[in-house]
Amino acid sequence: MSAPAPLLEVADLATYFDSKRGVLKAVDGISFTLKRGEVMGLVGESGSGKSVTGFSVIGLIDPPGRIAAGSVKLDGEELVGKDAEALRTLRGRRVAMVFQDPMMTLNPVLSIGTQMRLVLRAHEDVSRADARRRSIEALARVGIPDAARRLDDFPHQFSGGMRQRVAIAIALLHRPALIIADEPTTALDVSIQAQILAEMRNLVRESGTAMIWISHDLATVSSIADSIAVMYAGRIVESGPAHEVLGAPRHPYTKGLLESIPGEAPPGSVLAQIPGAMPSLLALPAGCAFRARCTYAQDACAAMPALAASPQGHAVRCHFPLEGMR
Amino acid sequence: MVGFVIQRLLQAGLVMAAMSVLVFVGVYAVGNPIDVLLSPNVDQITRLETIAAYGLDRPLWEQYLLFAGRLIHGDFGRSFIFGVPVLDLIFSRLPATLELTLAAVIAATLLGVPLGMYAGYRPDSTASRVIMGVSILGFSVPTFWVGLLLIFVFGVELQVLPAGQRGETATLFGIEWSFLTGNGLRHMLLPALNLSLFKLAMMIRLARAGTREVMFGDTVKFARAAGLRERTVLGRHVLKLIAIPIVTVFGLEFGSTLAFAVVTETIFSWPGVGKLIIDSIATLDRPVMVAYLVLVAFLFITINLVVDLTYAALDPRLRRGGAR
Ligand SMILES: Nc1ncnc2c1ncn2[C@@H]1O[C@H](COP(=O)(O)OP(=O)(O)OP(=O)(O)O)[C@@H](O)[C@H]1O
Ligand SMILES: [Mg+2]
Repeated sequence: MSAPAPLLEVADLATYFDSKRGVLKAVDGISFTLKRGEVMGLVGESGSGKSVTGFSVIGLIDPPGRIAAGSVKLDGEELVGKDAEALRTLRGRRVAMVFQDPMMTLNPVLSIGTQMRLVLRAHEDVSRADARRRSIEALARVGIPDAARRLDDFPHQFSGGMRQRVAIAIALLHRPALIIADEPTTALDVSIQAQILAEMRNLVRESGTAMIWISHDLATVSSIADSIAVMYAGRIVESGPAHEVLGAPRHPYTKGLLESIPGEAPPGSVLAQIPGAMPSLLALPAGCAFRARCTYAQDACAAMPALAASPQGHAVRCHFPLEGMR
Repeated sequence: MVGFVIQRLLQAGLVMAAMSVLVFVGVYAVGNPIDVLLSPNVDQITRLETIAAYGLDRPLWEQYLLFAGRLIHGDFGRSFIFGVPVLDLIFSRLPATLELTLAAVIAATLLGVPLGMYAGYRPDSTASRVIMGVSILGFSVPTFWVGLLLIFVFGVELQVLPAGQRGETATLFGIEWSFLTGNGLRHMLLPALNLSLFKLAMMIRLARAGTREVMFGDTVKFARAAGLRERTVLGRHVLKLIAIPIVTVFGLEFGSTLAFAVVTETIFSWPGVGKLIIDSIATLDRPVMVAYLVLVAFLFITINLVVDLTYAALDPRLRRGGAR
């Protein structure tokens, strides 16, 4: 009959921060859906609202921030407006989050074992021995050698890549249906980035976990994502299946991002940078927020374009979408 | 770790030696104890004999060496006034100060840290504003004035609490303690409260500042994203992260109060070391002053050492660094 409800359904989500200088519209009406086991890449330059999107989904927006409008449904269940305790029981259990720098996220003065036990006990009544056993399993699953012995170690005793594996193991402890990975490889060495990326891909594939992979780097996203959403100034400007968005980008901003990837340009050529900077989120211009930097901009762009989707689900928010690139 | 301790002990020895010189010279400059020891109308011969008997006719450096030599053997001399060994005198008064100090510092910490953490956790709430108001008051109102106020309100007007002396004591390990009897505890209450107010203010500030900083950090974000309860985040993550400055202040406050509870002990006629030292300064009881100052130096060096070792226990990152 009808298609099963998506795992995550975000509709017209708007997250604002109230400040003395006005209302900062960090996320301003975004919609996307995620199927079980699907990996979505969320890309965009710094400040475009990727992290705020992630935090909005798990209900971790603190004042002065607020979810001003929209809905977030997990398995059909509305999360916006749920009370704090209900959201807490959901976080870490059904939706987990991994952050950029494990040096900062892991507590330097608690052993790995203690930190994992605290996370287990946040949602389950587990004995010390059980917590230990499950933590060792989780560490082994993310490829930490000699996991049983390392459990009593502290974060500084691990290398950067191993630390991020620990953080991932913590996120996987309760086998969540969705992981939000906020630039989890950005703080790591390039060689280790690739390893972690590959391992995360395998982990979510094996366990059928869906993932939102946040990154400002389209190259990493291209190797892990099934679908891609491109954010600009708090809005999604283009989204669709990864091969469509990467292979035939329709928004000039996406095209600009793709042209600034080193591997995509002919060797020796100068990398194209998108000129200019993102407008202030406190005072967004009317119409397309990208138009001041856009070489294709015309008068019509002073009106906000709608997000128009193709039958294949390739959507673009542009009055003059590009056709048949590459 | 062992290397670290040995290095610190050597350092401590040097500091002690330097302190003994400073103390000796400093006290020498205070005045001539002979005037105190003898009544003005003794004859010149007795006077000279007494001076010789105490070695006060020798050059300063010789007096110091004699003094240092005795120190090393733990001999601080006898009190000019009481005629008993100085150490015995000080140690007979120490328990009174010790229990008062511990009560004040521990109460200030147990109360101040949670209050400060709350104020850092919810900086805009009314309760937090009240807490910070109390802390500003604790910083700015002089101890002697609060002491007098406490005596006036609770001792004189309401007459609910005793405002002087130690009250009944009980013996533990051969030492008299007030905190072991109900009556003694009641006697401790006002002076301990008086002593703890400033410390409470300080603990609130420290805990608040630390909590505010940590709350915005990624560690708390990650813990919350994992669904930890707020009380677990505060009690396990934040508390451990802000512990180091708190331990430092605990140690230093403990030391300085043990050594300088003078004002409170005087106001509440608490028969502790502070009172002894004030009396000994008034009577130019030089051996008591010297011994006291040397012991204070020793106390602080020990506390610093203990605090450093506690750091290593609290923060695993310091363990390796310290051993090297
Ligand atoms: N707690 C906050 N208070 C006020 N403004 C905030 C807060 N958190 C985020 N913002 C603002 O929201 C906007 C979007 O921030 P966000 O962190 O989502 O960007 P991002 O796309 O994740 O960027 P980056 O790649 O740098 O991580 C930024 O302008 C930021 O300043
Ligand atoms: Mg971000």
